[in-house]
Amino acid sequence: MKRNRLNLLVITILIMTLFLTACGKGTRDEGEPAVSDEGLEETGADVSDEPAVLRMTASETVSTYNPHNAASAQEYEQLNWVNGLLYQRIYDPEQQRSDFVPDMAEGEPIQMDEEGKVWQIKVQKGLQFADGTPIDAHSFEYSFKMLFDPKLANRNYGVMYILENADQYYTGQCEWEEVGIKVIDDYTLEITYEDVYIPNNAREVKETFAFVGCGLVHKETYEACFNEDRTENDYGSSLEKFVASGAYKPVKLIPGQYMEYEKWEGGSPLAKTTFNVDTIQVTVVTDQETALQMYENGEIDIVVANREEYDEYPDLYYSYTPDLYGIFINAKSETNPVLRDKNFRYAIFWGLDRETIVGATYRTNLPCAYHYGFTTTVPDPEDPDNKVINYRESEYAASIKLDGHPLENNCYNPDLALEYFQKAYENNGNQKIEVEMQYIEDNVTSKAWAEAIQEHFKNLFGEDRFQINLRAIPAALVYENLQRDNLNYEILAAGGIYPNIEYPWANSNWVSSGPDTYSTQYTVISEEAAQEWDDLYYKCTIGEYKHKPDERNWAAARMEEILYEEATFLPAYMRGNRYMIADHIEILMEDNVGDPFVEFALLQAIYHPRQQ
Amino acid sequence: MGKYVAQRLIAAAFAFIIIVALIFFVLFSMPGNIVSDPTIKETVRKAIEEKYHLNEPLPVQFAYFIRNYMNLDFGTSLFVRPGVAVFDVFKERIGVTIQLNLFSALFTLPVGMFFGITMALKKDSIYDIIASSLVVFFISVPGFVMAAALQYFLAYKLGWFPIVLAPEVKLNWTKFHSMILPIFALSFGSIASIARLLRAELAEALTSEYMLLAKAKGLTFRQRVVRHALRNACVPLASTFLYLFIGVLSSSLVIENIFGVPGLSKVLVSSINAKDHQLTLGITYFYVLIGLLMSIAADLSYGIVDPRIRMGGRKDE
Repeated sequence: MKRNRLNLLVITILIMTLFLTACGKGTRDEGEPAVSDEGLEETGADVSDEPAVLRMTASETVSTYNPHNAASAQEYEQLNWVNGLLYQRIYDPEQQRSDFVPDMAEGEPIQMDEEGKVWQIKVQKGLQFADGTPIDAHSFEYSFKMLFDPKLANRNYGVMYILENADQYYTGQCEWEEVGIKVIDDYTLEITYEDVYIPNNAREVKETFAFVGCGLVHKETYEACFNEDRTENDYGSSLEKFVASGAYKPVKLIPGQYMEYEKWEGGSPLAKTTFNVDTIQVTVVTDQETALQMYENGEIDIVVANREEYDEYPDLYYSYTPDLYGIFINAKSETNPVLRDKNFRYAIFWGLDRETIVGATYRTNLPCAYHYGFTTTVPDPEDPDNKVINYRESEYAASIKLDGHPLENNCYNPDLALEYFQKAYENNGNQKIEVEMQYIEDNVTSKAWAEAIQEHFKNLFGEDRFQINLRAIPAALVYENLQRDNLNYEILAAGGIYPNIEYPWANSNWVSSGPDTYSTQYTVISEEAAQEWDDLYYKCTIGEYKHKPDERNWAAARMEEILYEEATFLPAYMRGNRYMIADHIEILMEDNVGDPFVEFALLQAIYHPRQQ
Repeated sequence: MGKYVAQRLIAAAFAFIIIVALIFFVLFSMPGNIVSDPTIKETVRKAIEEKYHLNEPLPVQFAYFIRNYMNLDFGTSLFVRPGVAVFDVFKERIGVTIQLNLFSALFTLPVGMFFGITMALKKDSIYDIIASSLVVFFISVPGFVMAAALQYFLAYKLGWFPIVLAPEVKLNWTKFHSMILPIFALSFGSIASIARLLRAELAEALTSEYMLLAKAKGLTFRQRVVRHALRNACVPLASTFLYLFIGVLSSSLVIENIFGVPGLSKVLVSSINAKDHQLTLGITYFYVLIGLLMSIAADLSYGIVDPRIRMGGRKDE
């Protein structure tokens, strides 16, 4: 009898659990918006009077709030929230792109000499740190001095070498007084550039001082955070060792788990003029499924939704990173001569059906056959100070040809591919061409991508004439194999290139001589082409084209043409993510596509009342 | 006994030094360092490499490392928590890891023992069959699957628990409530292992001749089980439990990721990926130390649970 009762109890518990699970409160049907459109209309879609709270996820809490040595690019955004800068990049809804605006600086940089070597920046009066310490030109000077400090060897010094004697001071070869940063009066800084790095215009000066490393540090707290011999400083490692000066101040930090920021209006003027969010809550979530569940439960406001089941979801948002991914062909292979044949490389380039294969494998990525992606811009030669034009729509980019063929239809031309393949096949003694293609092991998508390429070319060139053998390699080996000194692959269907999308002529990825030599260089070009590349690169960055926008734009296009003719890298797609954003947040981008630098500029978005 | 403990501690110290050296050379032999990123300017790379001796030959770096460790200087994190002493990073993260694993242990032991004992006492009953099937199920299903399932059904669907760990600094009810699912996820496998082991040991003990003798002496069933059978059955359990605890401590990474727990495993993986070797070394040594101490504790536990087992006695004694 007792046994029967026990069995009955177990069965009852099981049934109850199933019943409760099926009737659970927490979920909308997948595909249903987090807040219905009707609900928004009923409220009149007013801007919320309640404090606007932005809840998001991150892969980790910030490693430090110290702008000098924060090491991860992912956390730069949060450092810019809390550390005052002279200039900052924000989204301009009128231009529908991001640009630099004064933050703690009063207006634009002032050019002090004819050649543009010396500039003055006025610091706004009345600003202060979160503890009430006033901010002036001396505060910035101290921050820069610490950033350049030779004993600290700060990682984020990197972009400041363009200032006069900066490298000398950083390496302990001169005194601070000789560096090109001077305090003229309590609210004026004077900046002097190295001769070869004279900026083209005020925008480039603003860009220099909008870098995260130029953020303010609080002198008293910073000094207290030094170790005995002043070689280490843990400023910003906890809330007790940090004083905010930006538009937000961190109010809660649980390392590895949670961060919370509140807007305050004593520091960065952008808090009053630009940012609409009052509180930002950042929860560390590394598991994508967990993040999706939190979004569906209304616990966060933005989430990546790349999975197929969200295809039909209304109001999806897209964001593309500037980096380009594709196929690397080892044109210096000593084991497989066919790889050195340009005809073979052209055959693969024109034969790669990017739209189909990328679409089937990486669903939210953007097929792209260009070495300089769709988001690349160049200054408008007619108005180089302010406006930019899309590089791909420029006259010079449009005229690029590969072996006489214009770059059309995302460069998919099977007839042309077959033509080139026939030549490569003949050069191979009419023997079947066999190559090995590496992909990332334990990565389902990478394998699917490689298999799709394998299948596609088998069908295009014929199984009897062409064969790709697949080989899995550990992810850690991808970039090691790609390095110029290794080139340990025949074809590699993984890895990518990070182009310079605002200054395409200043792409150092292929520089093989001079001060900007790219040490590991993931793609290679022939020695002759490398000479031409380096010549154009240095002409544009420090030479005769530096101040000539039209010549630089021409050079950018010529450099891209060199890549088409010579580079071992064949671009295939730009990496992208698809997002869901809570309905009460109205972003400023008209086309629902994020800006490459500020993504969806959520701090500037309009916040309507949140639906309960 | 004292001599035996001293011998074991000395042996553990030697093992520790060898393991420490091995880990150092394995880590520092890996290609690249914190400034391997090719976008870093050469001036910055050189300055950082010189400052932290990353440009020195491996034996020289090892000498610096030994010197620092002798002075109890465990170095500074260079990437994951730049500028922060390794020991401080460790302190920052160890709390929640210990909390989680301690609660898991406190939950695992009584529940596992309860099922082990009841299964043995009701051997071959329907209850035993169902429980044994569940034991096989929980041993077979990986922890991360269990974690994801618990999160999906109990947190996301039913809303009984938070999806991720509550952002509370101190341990309070809100935080404990949010720790229940990770504790469950960490515990089920161990509970099943303990239940299976105890069931087997206790079932065997219950059929032993000394149990018959105890019955003949007039002891009740409860007295026979508690005083004789259970005590003998628990001898292998003591060591098994300690090893399970080490296993849980080092294998909670996936659980930490799923439930957003800011534990030590996560920072260890971050440091390995970032080539922040000082931090990796510091955390790894903690695991090594815990492992060695636990193995000594497991050996000593035999003598405590069963006084017939003498520690450190000579063979001819």
